[in-house]
Amino acid sequence: MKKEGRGLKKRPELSEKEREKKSRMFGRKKDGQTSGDGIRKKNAKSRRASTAFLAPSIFGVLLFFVVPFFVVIYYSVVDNPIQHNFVFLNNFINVFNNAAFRQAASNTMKFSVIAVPLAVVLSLGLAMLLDSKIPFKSQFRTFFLTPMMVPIASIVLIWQVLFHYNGMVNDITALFGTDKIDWLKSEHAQVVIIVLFLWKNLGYNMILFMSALGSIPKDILEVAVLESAKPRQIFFHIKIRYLSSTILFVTIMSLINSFKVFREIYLLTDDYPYNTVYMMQHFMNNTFGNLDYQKLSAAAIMMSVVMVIIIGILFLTENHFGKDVEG
Amino acid sequence: MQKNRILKNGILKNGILIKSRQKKRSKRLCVSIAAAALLLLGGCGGPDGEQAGTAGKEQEDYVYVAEYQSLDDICDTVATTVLGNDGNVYFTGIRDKEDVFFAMKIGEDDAKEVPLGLEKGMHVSAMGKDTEGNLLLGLIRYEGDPESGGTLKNVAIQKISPEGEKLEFVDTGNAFLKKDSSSFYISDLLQDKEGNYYICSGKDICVLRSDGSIYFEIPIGQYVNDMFAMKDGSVVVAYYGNTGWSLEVVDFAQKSLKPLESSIVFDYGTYLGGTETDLLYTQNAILYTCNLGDEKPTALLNWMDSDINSSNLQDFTILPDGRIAAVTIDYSAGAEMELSVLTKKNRSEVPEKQILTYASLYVPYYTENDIVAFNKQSDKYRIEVKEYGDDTMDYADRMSLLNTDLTSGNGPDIIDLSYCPLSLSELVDAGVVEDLTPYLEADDTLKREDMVENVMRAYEQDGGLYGIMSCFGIESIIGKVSDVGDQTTWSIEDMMALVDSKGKDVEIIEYMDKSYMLTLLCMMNQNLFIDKEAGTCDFTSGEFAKMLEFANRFPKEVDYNANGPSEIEKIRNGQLVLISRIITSVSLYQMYEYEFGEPVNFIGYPTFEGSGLLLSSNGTTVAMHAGSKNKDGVWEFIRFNLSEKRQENLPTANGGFPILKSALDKELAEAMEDEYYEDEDGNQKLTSKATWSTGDFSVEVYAATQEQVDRIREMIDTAQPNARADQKISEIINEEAQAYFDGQKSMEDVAALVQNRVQTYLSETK
Repeated sequence: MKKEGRGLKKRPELSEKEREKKSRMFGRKKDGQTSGDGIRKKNAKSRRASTAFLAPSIFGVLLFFVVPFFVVIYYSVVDNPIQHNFVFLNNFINVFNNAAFRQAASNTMKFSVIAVPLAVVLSLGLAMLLDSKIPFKSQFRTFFLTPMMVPIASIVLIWQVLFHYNGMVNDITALFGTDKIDWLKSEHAQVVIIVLFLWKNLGYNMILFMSALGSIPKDILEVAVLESAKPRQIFFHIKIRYLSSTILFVTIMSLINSFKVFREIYLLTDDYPYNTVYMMQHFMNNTFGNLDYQKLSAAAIMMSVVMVIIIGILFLTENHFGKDVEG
Repeated sequence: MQKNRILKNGILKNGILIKSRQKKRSKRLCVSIAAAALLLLGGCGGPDGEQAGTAGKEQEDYVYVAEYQSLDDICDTVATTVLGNDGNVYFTGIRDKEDVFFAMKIGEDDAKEVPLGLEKGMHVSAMGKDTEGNLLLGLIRYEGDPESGGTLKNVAIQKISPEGEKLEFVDTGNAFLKKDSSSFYISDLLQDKEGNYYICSGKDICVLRSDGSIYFEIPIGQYVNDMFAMKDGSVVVAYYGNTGWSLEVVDFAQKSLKPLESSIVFDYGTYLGGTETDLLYTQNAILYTCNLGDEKPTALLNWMDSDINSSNLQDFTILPDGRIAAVTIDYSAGAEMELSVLTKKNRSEVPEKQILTYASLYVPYYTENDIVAFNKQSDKYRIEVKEYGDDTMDYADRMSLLNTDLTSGNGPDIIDLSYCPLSLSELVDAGVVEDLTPYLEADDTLKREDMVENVMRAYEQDGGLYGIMSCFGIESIIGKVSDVGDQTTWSIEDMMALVDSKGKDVEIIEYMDKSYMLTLLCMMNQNLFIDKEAGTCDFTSGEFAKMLEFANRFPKEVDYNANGPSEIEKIRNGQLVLISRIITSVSLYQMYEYEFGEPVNFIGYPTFEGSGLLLSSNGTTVAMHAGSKNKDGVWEFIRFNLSEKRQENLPTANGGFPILKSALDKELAEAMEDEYYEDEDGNQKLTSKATWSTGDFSVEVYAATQEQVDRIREMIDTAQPNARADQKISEIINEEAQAYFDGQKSMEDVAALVQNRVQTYLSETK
């Protein structure tokens, strides 16, 4: 006696004819001999071909990502690359207690907390503006995209001309009788860098938002208008929900770019800048130059852990807000 | 069948055949991609890679093995040498106070001797060749002490056959007597096919007819490194001119020099005419041969591989049997003249040694000397130099190459500290360098107490000894006692008072600008502002402001005026008050005393506390790589450089004070001994120990006084290590100070900025 549990279905008996049909479909021969070996051979060959195609990529990923990642972990738990004495968490403790690391982490966090939301909100606002019926839309779009096409060296040069102690901004403010400000070597330095970051990234983010706005189903928006929904309600209850995945993407990209702003700062202010613009990558770049690989590795791991947590939170947020949106 | 065929074709629904075709396509595609990838990969290596491999293999297959023979064993003093194309070496020397000509078959121990029977007072200044294989002796005769000048009385050329038979004697009469009689000498001599003689006397070329009368003269204005005849007989002069290295041929029609036409770029080196090719020359330790029409020269060997220091080369030639002969003078072994014969051998025939790698961004001649000497005497170890990058590479790239090697498992064994871009503390903190204390303690012959303690401390950190300099100099500011007083140290206020006491048109320190002065002051006084242990700094105190204010009194930029008055003229006219110099010998100390013309004080740089004298590494200074697999070999090299024989010969080899106390004592004691020469009548007469010349100024130095030697000892004992200077901090200070120097920011603002940035740096490195 067989028990039929809930949710379990009894397997139906097959008739002779159906068995024959099925065996033909799955390669079983008429005389009762199976052709499973042939299929397995073909599957094996198929797997080998796939493996052959994938091998270079897998090898590349292993060589350039996975192995270095483990090397970094290894370096973070030894005293130095020559002696290789295991010190467990000492490097992490040293790094955590290092005043420069704390300064860099604090500056980077402060910069990201200010610059990333600004980059998302302002680019979304610009996208909304260009999505509405305004004149010179195309020209505005081009204007905001221009910084993407300018080489980094030119950007730095422009910013130096503007914000140098003897630069244009000070010349202009001098017309109003104000004292000169050393923009890049004072408390104002982070403001300059945030402006530079926004100027460089708004255009790209804006294009992404414009594309996402264009893909919101028109019928839903029309229904909302017919139901007398106010523009604010349409924005928060429909558009934001449809834009959630794009917001997540733009936020992650902006976050990554905010870590990469080191390049501009380095070119503007060298490897030991004014302390308010001393970033995590300054710390890492300088420790690499000083051959302090263990400090560098520990800092890199701590930073990656924080990044993983932040991105995880962003994914959870996106899942929460965008779960009832189609597609 | 039809059904089967249809099924087999599987028109859309039966996947079997379609799959089969897809698989075949996939296979073809896979094979094609793999083939393309292989071709691409092959293309990456390409013919160049193959060539390089072959060349590398070829290089690995053979090596030139040198056999050495000291020419000093044959006679008392070797004066001049010439390598003949006939497989003989010819040289002149003194035996039993008589000038003798020697002809020796290369490879044999015995030389044929022919007394030259020179006129009294005549000596051989140079040796050359004519086009027929005969030898030319350039003879000069002085009256009086030749060491201290004397008066030039005669210049002549003696032609002799390879067997020593006198063929011709050409007296130049008064041709050269109009020259500066105290400094005339012949550096090169040869004769062309037409019988004209060419005499090079330092900065001038003089062409003489076969009877000794002057045909024409070519003033060069620069010291001529080499004068030689090429295969076609044309005479070429090699020198470093105003526009760089020049090879110029003597133009008979214009009675001048004209550039040698070749697509090959020649650079500083030793140049000779070849027998099979136009030129045979050494550049960057590599021996090349080439014809002028060649696109690039052919490299024959690297002298370092055969344990020959290319800086010591006097003459070299390719012998008819393919061997290469070279004559060298090794100053690190008491100016020993040596004949080396290099034979090409399979590498397998050469006894294997453990290889030690010497890493540096640049290898100075004295280090090359030390390495060659070590390699020659060691049966167990061999040092190979790894120079990181060349002049065409960016400094950061070269530094990056070195850093990568230092931290990798295959790093070098020996690290040159003189030219290492990383500071000692960076190397120690990164665990790259080994503490030498256990090696020194375990050594049977070398003891720490045998070394000058102050110099040993230069490369100490946290109780460990990480480097040793084999010899050193003392950097100091020098001034008249009447200006700086007779105390051993002085403060910035003292120096500012001196500056204030002088007129505005008076130069305080020659070629000293604001930046350099600030760098020096920061280096001397950085302990006042920086606590590296705690990772803190304080630049906001008044002392830093004082330094800024003081440095601001110097010019922003200094132009070198080649046509202006000389240094000694400026000092003696009161236009220049102080000079900054490195003292590397007693005679140099005496020379600077003489330069000022009145009692002087080697007072050092102004400081807030302690001595202002700086220790400066002046010889091979190395550290042991912590990851070296041949640490005993590295220590062997260090102790070789610190051995008594090497240390006692340092003054001539490197020009610095030895770190070994006994060698230093010996050098200082010898400096106080008078030197004598024997005049024509056999009487002992006092002579100078050294002659220093710069421009028109020349000074002969005699035995030092006890007082002078005592002051040098005191300077050595109190000088501070230079290695403590932190490059990055100096850079930050100088960068920020520019705004103050330009009058754009106040001292307080600059100090606050320096404080901010240096604090970040210190926090990071803690």
